[in-house]
Amino acid sequence: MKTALGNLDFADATTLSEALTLLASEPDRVPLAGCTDVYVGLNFGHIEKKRFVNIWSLSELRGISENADFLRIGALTTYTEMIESPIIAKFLPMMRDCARLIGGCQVQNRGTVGGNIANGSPAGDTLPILAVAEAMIIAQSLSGTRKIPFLSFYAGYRKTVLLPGELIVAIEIPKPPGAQWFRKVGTRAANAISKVVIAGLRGETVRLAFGSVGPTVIRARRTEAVLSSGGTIAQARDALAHDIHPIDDLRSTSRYRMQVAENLLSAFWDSTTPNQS
Amino acid sequence: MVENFRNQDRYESVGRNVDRKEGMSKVTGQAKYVDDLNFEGMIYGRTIRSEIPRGKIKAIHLEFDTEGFTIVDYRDIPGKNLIALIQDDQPCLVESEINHADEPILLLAHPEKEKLLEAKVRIETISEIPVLDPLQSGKIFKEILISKGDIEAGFGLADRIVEGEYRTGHQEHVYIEPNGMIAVPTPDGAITVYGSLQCPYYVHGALMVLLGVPETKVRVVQTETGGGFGGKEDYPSIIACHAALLALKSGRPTKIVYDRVEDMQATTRRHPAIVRHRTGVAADGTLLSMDVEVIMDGGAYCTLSPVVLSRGVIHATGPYRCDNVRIRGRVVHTNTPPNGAFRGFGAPQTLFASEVHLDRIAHTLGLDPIEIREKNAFRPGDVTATGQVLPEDTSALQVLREALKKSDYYNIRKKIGTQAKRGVGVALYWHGSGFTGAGEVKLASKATLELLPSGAKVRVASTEIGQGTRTMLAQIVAQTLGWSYDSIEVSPADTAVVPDSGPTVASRTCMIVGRLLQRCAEEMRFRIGNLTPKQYLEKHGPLEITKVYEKPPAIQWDDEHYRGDAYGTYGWGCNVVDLEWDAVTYEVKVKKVIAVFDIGKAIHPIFAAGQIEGGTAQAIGYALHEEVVMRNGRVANPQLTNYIIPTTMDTPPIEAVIVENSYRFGPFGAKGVGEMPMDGPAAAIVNALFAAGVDVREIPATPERIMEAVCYSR
Amino acid sequence: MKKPPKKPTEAETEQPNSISDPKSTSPYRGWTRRGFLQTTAGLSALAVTARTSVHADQDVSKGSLPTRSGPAETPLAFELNGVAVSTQAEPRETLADVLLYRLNLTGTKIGCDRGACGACTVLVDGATRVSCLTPALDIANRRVTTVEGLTLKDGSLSPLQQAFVNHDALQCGYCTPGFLMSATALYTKTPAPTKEQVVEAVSGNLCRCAAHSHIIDAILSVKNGERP
Repeated sequence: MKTALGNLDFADATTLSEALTLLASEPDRVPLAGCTDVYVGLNFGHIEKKRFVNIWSLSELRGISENADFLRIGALTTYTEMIESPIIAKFLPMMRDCARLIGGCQVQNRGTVGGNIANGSPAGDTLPILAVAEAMIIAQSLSGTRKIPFLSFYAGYRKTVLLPGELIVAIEIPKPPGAQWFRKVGTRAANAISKVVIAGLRGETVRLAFGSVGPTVIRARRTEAVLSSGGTIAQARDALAHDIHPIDDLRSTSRYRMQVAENLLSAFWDSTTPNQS
Repeated sequence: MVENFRNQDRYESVGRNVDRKEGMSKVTGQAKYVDDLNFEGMIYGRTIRSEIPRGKIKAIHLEFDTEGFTIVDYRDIPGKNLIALIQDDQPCLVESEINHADEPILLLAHPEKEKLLEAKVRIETISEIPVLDPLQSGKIFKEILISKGDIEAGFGLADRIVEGEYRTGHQEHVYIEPNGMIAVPTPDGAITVYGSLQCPYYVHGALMVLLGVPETKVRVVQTETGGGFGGKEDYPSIIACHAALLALKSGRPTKIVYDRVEDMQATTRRHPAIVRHRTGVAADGTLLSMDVEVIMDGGAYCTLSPVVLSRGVIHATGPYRCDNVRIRGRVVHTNTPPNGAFRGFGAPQTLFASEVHLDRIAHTLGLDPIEIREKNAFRPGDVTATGQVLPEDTSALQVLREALKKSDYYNIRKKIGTQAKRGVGVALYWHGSGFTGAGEVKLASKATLELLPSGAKVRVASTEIGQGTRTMLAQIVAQTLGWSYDSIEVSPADTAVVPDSGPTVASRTCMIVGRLLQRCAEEMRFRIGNLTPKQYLEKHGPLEITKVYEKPPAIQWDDEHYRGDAYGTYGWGCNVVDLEWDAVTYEVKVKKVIAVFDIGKAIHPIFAAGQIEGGTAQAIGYALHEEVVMRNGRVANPQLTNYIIPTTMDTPPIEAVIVENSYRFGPFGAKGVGEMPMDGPAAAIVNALFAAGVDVREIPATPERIMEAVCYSR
Repeated sequence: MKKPPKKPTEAETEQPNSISDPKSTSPYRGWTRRGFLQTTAGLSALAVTARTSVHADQDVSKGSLPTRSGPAETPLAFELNGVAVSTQAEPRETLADVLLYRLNLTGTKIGCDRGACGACTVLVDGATRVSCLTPALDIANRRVTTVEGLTLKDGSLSPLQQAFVNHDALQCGYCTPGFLMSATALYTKTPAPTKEQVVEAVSGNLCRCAAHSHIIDAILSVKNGERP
């Protein structure tokens, strides 16, 4: 049964200033952009909030740019825009690969990177990439702008450290050092929700993050340490069992997720090992 | 592939890919499905359901302002509180005893949808311990024994006895249009129901019993129907009953359209099955004795379970001859939503088991999977487990050989060699066309053909649900009359104007109803002689010809002992599947499916290919992806994000190959096609996995199950 | 990727001469061509001004408050299949709700109401969207195209629609409008798509009849013919 949505209160911001002014006085409002998560949650009755601020029209939160050190992705940048961006293709190709696997085109045209972050689902596909890239979240409120390291952005299952009145306006991503590797294991070839996601970076050190295997996206620090210090892949697989503790749910099992996460780790290592024939 | 059958020489209409009758309206968005219809003063209905799988209702609390609402419970039912089908065990609305989760208890209606959704109803219940495991069930809806020869004697002769247990899960239909009905009351106390449905006269019959009215007081009209696959065979009766009760009480047209979640939780699914095989074989692979046990989970009420079981057990040996056979089947009660009809109707479950088991037998004997099939496959004149002598159009070997040829089977196997993680699998199967046993005789279907100045109009209750009923029946009539396809109209499936040509199920529409119309057309052609339709009508007045089903003379069936001719004839199918599995993720990538079917005659080759490809894709989902997660008797994944059907990216190339061995009593030789493609691919996939080193015996063979088989069961 | 136009203020938008009663029996086609031209002209002018820098991290000072709507009905004007429409919508209503239940334009289909099946796919400013997850008020002053808008002015089928008929790229037809919209959007961006691009472009549309190969063949068949 669809849930009665009741009397929604819908404010339509046309500028960032308007949005932040409203959020300052009414911080309980949920920002709406592509609505690909919010309306699903409303229809299922998972979201009880009734007050929203629509920020989809804020063109100042769109777009992808770069300087010598960073990529900057506006919070309202859609998956489609990331798929088509030459900057993403050049500096963060794993994000392009990731975005192509999120929903169909209809959803890619609407889903935004900021929304993926704010929604905070452990299955959020872009999150492992942002974790290994050590992105900074640019959050803005009427009292100013602050940069929050992505790795400390989540306080728990679907909980963020955003303060009342703050809005994610952009993500800053240091140009990733080393080889990028991304793989999503979903329930089918397209239009799927992930069961295990891995993003890896292999340069002088190794960075690894997994999605859908814990309450939030997880950086596999112990595993990274093993690999960064010259340990074997077998040792790394053992270490991974201490980094992630996946659960059984509707989509998969704990045992499958653990096994596949280990396999993905090996696959990452093999395919990023140079001079392989 | 279709090109092979674009033979335009022999027939003008039949065998040609004419335009779909409703193609234009479907591509322009003009086709009217149930939710697209509105009536003056219409209100919306909602069903309040149980949340527990078993218990008693203690009290119902209406925690909303009831002003403006129509509220219906079982006491508002003017006739009998039941959904008339096979057994009279399923109430329309619960009186006190809850037998499954999501069982309808109370109905609400209101002019505003939002108000309707807001209304809070709390059902206070006393829970009882539910029966959820079919093996623990003490209540049997139907038990069937098929016996031939002496299995113990057969086992005595065997060199080896091979045993195996195979399991298949629930499957959800996922027609993209959810179920829906609109009931419109008339001042004289009659009711008209419009809706998404396969079987107008099932709904008609159920409404007569529920309302306690004669047939003239009920009219059922099919709206354009967005897919059925069996899912709109029996359940629409329930929704129609609910809508009718609300409409009668409110005096207003009432629309009930299910939300996807409600549809996936409350309506029927494919019966899960456990099938056990014990087979005695000679060293050369000859089947000497087959002992098969089939257990199906019927859910909380009988619905169509006896006939699902019936088709399941009759097909349970697979298309193989064996002198000594015992098949014991039972379908049992559990406190889960009732399972119902789904494309294949019991056969996909038992054929999965028999085909997977046969590969295990071959493996045990060190034989090739093809060799054991060649040796044992039915030939014309062979005798089935029920004692049916198979007719001339028995083409098991032909479809097998054609599939091997089309797939380049032996070369691919040679190429794969011992290459791990890739395998080729085969499944060979049969599917009885039309109702089982004496079913068609009992149905006594009627079809009418009416002469129009411009041609003729088909009047049947057989529904268009995407498979091409309208087009294909018009082709048969046009061909028989020698007129153009465009001169044949097809009446809407409206019980006020069409006779009961039986339900649109069991791959019977072309073979049975098509044949009835062919007979109508033959007589019409004879009666008109050399006149044009216009001349005839002017000279003789209206002409309407109605024909009633006539059993082919030789067919005999003993329902008590399950002996005789189970079906008029059979379609024959073979799949070859080439796949590989991923050692990192345990995901299966099907590279190619060959699907060869003897369907007698392809009236419309593209439609026939569409049926084959569609059924095959559904079967691939059944085999690999589609898992209904039940928690305490309730569907826990009633969403299209968590119940996974194949997308364009998941559907492999499917090569449909049609073989045409005519059936003497089918129109232009046609047999059934709709269900058969669902029967085999799951077994072919699991057999290909076996060849690629993965031993799974339960579907869906999800990556999780494959991982368990690879990593934990060695 | 075209940026969606910023919403014009009331002063900027000349309200077309349209029918405001959503349940009016007058067909939506009845709105004047003059009104349509005024609206589209206004929209394209605004699209230019909407391109602002994404770099500035400027401090934002307290400003005006956004327009609020709801919970009651709010006027809603947008361009539908080339014609300006104005209707009403509550904030909770989706674009699909407005099309189907207020404008009685029923070609768009609801299959899951959760963005998972693609049956309700429409074009907003030329790009596909699931209309069941699009708040109606969010389409104010945007361009919406539904399956009804694909048919050419003379009533004949678009090349894609014709290809779907020719290839029998449908069975039950319920997913068909969504597939047609996805395919139409593909051709807008990619005039000569490969088979892989076609398969990917419609992978967000579920077809349970699984007419997939017919659909893909149909879409590919217009590649070298007329553009939709």
